[in-house]
Amino acid sequence: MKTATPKQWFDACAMIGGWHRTPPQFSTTAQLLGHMERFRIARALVFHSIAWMYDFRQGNAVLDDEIAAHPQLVPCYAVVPSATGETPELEHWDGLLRGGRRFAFRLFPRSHEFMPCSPGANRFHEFAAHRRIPVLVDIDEISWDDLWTLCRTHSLLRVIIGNSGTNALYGLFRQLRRLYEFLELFPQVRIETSLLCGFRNLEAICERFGAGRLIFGSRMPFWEPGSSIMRLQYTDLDPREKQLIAHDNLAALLDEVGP
Amino acid sequence: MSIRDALAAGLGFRDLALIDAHAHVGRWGSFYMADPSLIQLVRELDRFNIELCCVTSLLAFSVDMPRGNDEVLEAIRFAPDRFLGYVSLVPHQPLADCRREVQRMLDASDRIIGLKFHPMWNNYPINGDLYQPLWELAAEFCPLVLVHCWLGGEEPEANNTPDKVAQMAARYPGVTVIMGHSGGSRAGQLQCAELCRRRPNLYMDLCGSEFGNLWIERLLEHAPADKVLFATDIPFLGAGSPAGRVGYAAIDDAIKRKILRVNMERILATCTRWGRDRFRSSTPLTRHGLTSTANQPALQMGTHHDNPDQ
Ligand SMILES: [Zn+2]
Repeated sequence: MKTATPKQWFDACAMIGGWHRTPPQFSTTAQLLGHMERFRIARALVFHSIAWMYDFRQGNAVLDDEIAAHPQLVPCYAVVPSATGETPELEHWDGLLRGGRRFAFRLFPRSHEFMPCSPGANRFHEFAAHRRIPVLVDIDEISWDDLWTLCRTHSLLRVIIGNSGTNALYGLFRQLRRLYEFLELFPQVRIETSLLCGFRNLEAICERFGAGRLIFGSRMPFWEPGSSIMRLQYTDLDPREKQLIAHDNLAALLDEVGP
Repeated sequence: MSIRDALAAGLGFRDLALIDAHAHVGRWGSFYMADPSLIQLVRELDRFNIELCCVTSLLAFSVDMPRGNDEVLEAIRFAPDRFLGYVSLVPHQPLADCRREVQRMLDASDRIIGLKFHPMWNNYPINGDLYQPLWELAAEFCPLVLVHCWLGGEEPEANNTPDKVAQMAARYPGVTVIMGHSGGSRAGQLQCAELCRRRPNLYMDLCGSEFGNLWIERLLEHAPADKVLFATDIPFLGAGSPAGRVGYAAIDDAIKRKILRVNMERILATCTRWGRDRFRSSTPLTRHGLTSTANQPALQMGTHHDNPDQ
């Protein structure tokens, strides 16, 4: 018997750049593109390790250089909305949008030591919500209370929740009791699938909340894409649901980004 | 068609029936499991063409050893051609109870294949005094032991580090020992790999090891391919992750077959009466057209790696 396989994949979680600890599988853009080809992943939302672990502005600039020649790579910019004013003015991002650029934001409140629900941060989230720019955040980077406040305060903000997997005991697959509360109350919240590796996670969430709430992610170069791909490809969902999760949900979110 | 191409085409593992070396029955209190019923477990096995699934009870090494082990027997009765069982023993229980538990389980089903120890959850070192007589029980009754094995980070007590598990494997050379989760962390996996090279009776299973951020291609640069076992940890985790990690890896199909089935089939055929009866027609390796390279480095198996990162 043949399993219906999604025709296209759009990876919501890939990283390029070096690493300060034991290196993961790869670091360069060329290697990422090689793996995308091997796994037939058509597009990927990418952030740069410099933006996470060193300086977010420099990392975003390096990311722009790295992906300039590769339209299948969509930038995911790290932002630090705080009273220090480090994050570029809202006008900067509006300029990019008017120029036709489409992108997402990623928050690292723990790594970058900022308050994700401060008044300054709220102004930024308000802006992202009105421009329909997706905001990705991993549960290892934010407290559950802050995440709750963020989603409740900004009901239009398109938050995509993931998990970096640095500690298996707190993996996203063990957090359904919390995640269900978010999915139940906040229709704009989606879950990225790289660490939804628990038993029947995808089926259970789809059954209860619909396939629109899940977004495929590989978490390359830390996790191998075969893990996330296989889980979705051979899951007990109909072909349309698989296609939404594999590609269409994220593509639609980015299509809606605009000034 | 290669395993990888068949998977990509949606055909599954159609030419290979997998064996899962480490899975469970039951639930886990700290998180929500979406319907871990026996029906759903078997559906998951079917989805990935897992013919045989070796289960232990989550309840047995939690707080109720006999009731939990009964759930293993229930699974075997529910799908007698699919499940094999490990008896979970808790070192804090009286030795006489543990001994009775092993005998009771072996009497109840010929599909009981070994013992399972969980030194982390039971918070007691695998090489400690209380475990000693339980290892003796293994040597006497069923010489196959699965141990929850993890190094570092989340398990600071260090009750189940790879070196402690290997120490017991050295003390009981007649017992085949599977290091569950391959030591979990990246460092743990590299240690397990090294220990598996040195000790003929040591093996490592893959479930949960994705958290070590080590791709299968790279793990096999260190671990002997004859010593790595496919395992799912269902219903704690899903089977898709380990099946996809191995199935889609840039390694030779012969190596994938060993990991997905042949290595565990050989263990069952060697260590269990059930396996000897079931697989007696010929040795597993020759039936699958493979040759043994036990204790040989994986890279000496040939130049099959087409890892784009090398
Ligand atoms: Zn387990």
